[in-house]
Amino acid sequence: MHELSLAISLLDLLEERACLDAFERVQKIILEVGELSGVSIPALRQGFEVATKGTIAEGAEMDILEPPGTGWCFTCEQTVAIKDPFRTCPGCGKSAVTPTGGLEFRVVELVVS
Amino acid sequence: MCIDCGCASSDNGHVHPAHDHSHEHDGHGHDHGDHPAPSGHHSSTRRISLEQDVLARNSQLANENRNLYREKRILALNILSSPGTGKTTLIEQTILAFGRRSRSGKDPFPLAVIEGDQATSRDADRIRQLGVPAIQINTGKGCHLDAHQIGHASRELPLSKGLVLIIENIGNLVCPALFDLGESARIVLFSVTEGEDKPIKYPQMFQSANLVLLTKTDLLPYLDFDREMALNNIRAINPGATILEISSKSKEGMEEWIEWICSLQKRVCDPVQASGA
Ligand SMILES: Nc1nc2c(ncn2[C@@H]2O[C@H](COP(=O)(O)OP(=O)(O)O)[C@@H](O)[C@H]2O)c(=O)[nH]1
Ligand SMILES: [Mg+2]
Ligand SMILES: [Zn+2]
Ligand SMILES: [Zn+2]
Ligand SMILES: [Zn+2]
Ligand SMILES: [Zn+2]
Repeated sequence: MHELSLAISLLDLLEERACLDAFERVQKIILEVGELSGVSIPALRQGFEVATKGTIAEGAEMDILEPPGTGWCFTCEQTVAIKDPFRTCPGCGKSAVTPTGGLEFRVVELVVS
Repeated sequence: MCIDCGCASSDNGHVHPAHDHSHEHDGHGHDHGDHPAPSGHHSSTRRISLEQDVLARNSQLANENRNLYREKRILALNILSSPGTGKTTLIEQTILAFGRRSRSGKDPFPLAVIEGDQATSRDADRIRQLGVPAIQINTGKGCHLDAHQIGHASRELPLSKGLVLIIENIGNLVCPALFDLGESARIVLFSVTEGEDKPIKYPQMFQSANLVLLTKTDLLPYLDFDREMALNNIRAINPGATILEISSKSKEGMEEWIEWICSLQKRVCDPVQASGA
């Protein structure tokens, strides 16, 4: 379950922010987890719950935005929707598509006290 | 959070509730004396806008490692695969092959190994028996090596010019793909005892590879493995990767693998000579 490691990386980031921005509790986290990021959201939520026991982020609410997967096709010369990175273009069925959106794994905003 | 390395803090001023992250690394330390001490009265709720990559810190530490390797002229190789694909065996055979080469007067460059494992130190013991310095990193529950651990382990090794530093990552094809260690090249192993569709099931891992090694090819006559299909799957996911086929047992393909390392070693560790200037 690699989401536990990712949850620990997220906690690292929160604890560093707590130090720089002088807060003591994280109440809510607004995250972007792109459709092509390879991160499973249910597993991330579960990992986060385990990783944050006894920390400044215990019990914090998580709002997760899911930017859709998009990619650029050099044959069609346009942006197309894709569900999976590194797959062929759904339009022409020929070219491999270069992912351009949906790879995010990013903290957008925090609500803290 | 230094849960992985337990690195000591240089700061005795204030202690964070759950961790301490003062560092002696260049570039990412911060002085705990500079920010307002928590007063205990921060009851008001506020919003902080961040737009920060969760893995940004790992990338930053990976860049520090990359700078260290460049400065010392070291070639760092990140070896990745599922458990049991033959990473440690390949590293052992590689050490033996370089030993034979340097005895015959060719390419006498030093080797060192960092072994990642969740719990045991068996792999590092195997390497040390061959007379090569090896550091074991036990990740416990962690299922990948990160740049922070590699930075500390690298500094415990003799970092001489021209060193080839081989890093055996944790046996896992998912999240090690996301964690840059500062390596010069990623080598993904895929054995003929696995399914031909492995590259398609783990596209991020195979997409990030500079070299894919199809391993245990001595077993091909006994298996139903469709070699062509496997090679095509690798090419479909990553058209730019070099593919080599190798057996640590029969030593078939060993020569090509050693040549691949040597030419990269020359380019990375001796860039002036390699460019023919
Ligand atoms: N037949 C055969 N077996 C191999 C080869 N390389 C490794 N093995 C066996 O595969 C098993 C796992 O090897 P190991 O190097 O520990 O894999 P790791 O988990 O990727 O480090 C061991 O039993 C090895 O003896 C090979 O080239 N051919
Ligand atoms: Mg091993
Ligand atoms: Zn601090
Ligand atoms: Zn197209
Ligand atoms: Zn450290
Ligand atoms: Zn992991």
